[in-house]
Amino acid sequence: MSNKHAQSRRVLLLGNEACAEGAIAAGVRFYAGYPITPATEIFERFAYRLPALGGVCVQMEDECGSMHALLGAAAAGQRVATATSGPGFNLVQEGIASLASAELPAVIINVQRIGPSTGSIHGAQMDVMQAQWGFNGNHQTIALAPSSVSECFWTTVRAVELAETLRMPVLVMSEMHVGLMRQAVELPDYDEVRIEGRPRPTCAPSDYRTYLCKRLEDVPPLADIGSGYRNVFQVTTHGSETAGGGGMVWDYKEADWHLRHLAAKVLHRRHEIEWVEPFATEDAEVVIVAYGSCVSAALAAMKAARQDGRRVGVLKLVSLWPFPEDAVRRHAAKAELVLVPELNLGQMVREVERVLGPSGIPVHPINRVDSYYMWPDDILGVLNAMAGR
Amino acid sequence: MTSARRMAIPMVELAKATARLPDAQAGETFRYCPGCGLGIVQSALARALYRLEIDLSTVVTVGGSGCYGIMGEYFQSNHIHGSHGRAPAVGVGLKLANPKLTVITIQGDGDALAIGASHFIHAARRNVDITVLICNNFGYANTGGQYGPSTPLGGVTETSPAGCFEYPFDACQLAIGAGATFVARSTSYHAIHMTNMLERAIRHKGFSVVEVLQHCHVLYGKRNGMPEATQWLTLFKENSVRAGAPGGAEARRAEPGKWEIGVLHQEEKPEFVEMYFATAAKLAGNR
Repeated sequence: MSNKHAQSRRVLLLGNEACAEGAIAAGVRFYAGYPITPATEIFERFAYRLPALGGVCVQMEDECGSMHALLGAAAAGQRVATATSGPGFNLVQEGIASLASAELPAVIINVQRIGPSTGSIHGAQMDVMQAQWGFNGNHQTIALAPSSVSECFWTTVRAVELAETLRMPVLVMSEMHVGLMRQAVELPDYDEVRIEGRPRPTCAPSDYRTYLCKRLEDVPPLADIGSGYRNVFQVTTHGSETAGGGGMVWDYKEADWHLRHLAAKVLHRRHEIEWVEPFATEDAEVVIVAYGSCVSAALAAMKAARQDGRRVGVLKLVSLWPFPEDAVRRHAAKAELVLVPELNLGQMVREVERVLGPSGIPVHPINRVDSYYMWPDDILGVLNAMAGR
Repeated sequence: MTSARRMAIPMVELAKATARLPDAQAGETFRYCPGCGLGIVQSALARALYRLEIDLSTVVTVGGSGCYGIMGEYFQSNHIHGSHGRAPAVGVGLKLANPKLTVITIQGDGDALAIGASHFIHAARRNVDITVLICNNFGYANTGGQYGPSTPLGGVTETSPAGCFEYPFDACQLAIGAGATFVARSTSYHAIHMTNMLERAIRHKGFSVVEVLQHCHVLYGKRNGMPEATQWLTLFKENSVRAGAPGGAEARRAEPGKWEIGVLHQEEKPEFVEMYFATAAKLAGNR
């Protein structure tokens, strides 16, 4: 009998190290990377841990190389991950698009820093829109944003599961402020971390097609290269049946199927993917919608405001994409004001405005781009000003 | 040794054994222009695979963007139609994830020497056990005929209408300099020679490169006074010098417009994936 609590360990970890541990707990045994601050601790952790587990950690010539090494390893059956930051996140976009189109699973951790370009190595939340719209074409991305060291672990576990079960790249949108934060966390016994893997074919090899599925929202079963099933992976536009069998025909119906399928397989499961945590939103007149490092400031601001007799609540978003619009609608339903603090000049606030716009609830952004944390006073200041105090 | 029977297999049987040909009834056709050198490369690769008697379910071809990108789909083996130039990086991932796989990247000159040059030379430096087949047609063809890193000086293309003014790369010298442990060149005229080179390259343990000078009479040839495939085959026949051939191959190779074919470099050196796991075992043992 395994005893979960007896096997768990309380350890002091960096957020970055917790991301690596989460991936390892979820079965990631292949990492390809390129050093970049402030994400390098993830790479270093894997370099130390994976060889001992029979896994592979390799340094590539650039982030583009890392992503395509992941693509090859994922096609050969490995659970794979990489981590990057800022300018590296630009370079992985091509690989994200390739994995999305070829429908191969991978986890990409972005420890966000200030941009554009090399910018600086300080904390920011400036790539959250890039997570969805950074690559070419039309693909529904999945992105999770941790706000603590513990969440670094569990968002990465979940990211691996979503990547494997949906056959697609999944992003963990960490930040320097979270990745380089050190906290004591309770780590589970990794044998107890059971996640679902990729769907496997039950048909005979001769009937197998790399992208064969019935409905748009289905995830085609995936066989590993070398397992006896013939695979043809394509980053090119392809259909479910014809192309999967060796795609030599291109037609408009296949293009239509391909694009709608990539969106449908995610959006059909948007409620399973949705990950939010509400704090006192039931009676809240003011709801602060926050994610990542801004969550702790939002909670502190809420506490201060509640002590002052004001009904303030917080909705923490962990899943950013697909945007958890139903949760935002639900928890802001009674609000008279919604605040969206972000370490950028207003990115996710656009989604909040899109969702709450028809209801007429005013949405107000609070932005910092000077490399500091969001402070509770930044939020309280706006709260006071908006409330006419 | 390959049996005589395997050496002499007729094309129809070869196709049955290795190929997945276009389904004419479903409207599928070969996507090469009539007379394209890629068809010759494809059949040479099919023959090489057949001679090697490898289980095709353990073979992966990796292609990129270019006329050659589709070639891997005409085989019964696995294929990854990947992004432009990234095939060697995909190969590194495949081999590390499953060292039993036979990985062949099918690339073009622009693919391997321009956009993917970094992946190409770093895979060579690592001596990872993959085979890179470079179909060198002296420029970009799939996009309509532009100059590239292998276009000869003076070559007329859509983006070099007054003639190319850049020095070209020598793919084989680049590969040797980067650390490749088997480097060979052939041409679309030398179909049997090309088959031999591919067979030896795939058999070689380590990073192997076969550069095939492959005619594109339709785009590059038309603009450079050689619009017929046969003109190119004649050119390749008359200007290729066998590497190591007696009678002053060294001197003849130095003549302008001549190139050496055959195995240009071969050495035995520990291979990347084996080195990785040997090193990893040390780390695992020390902990």
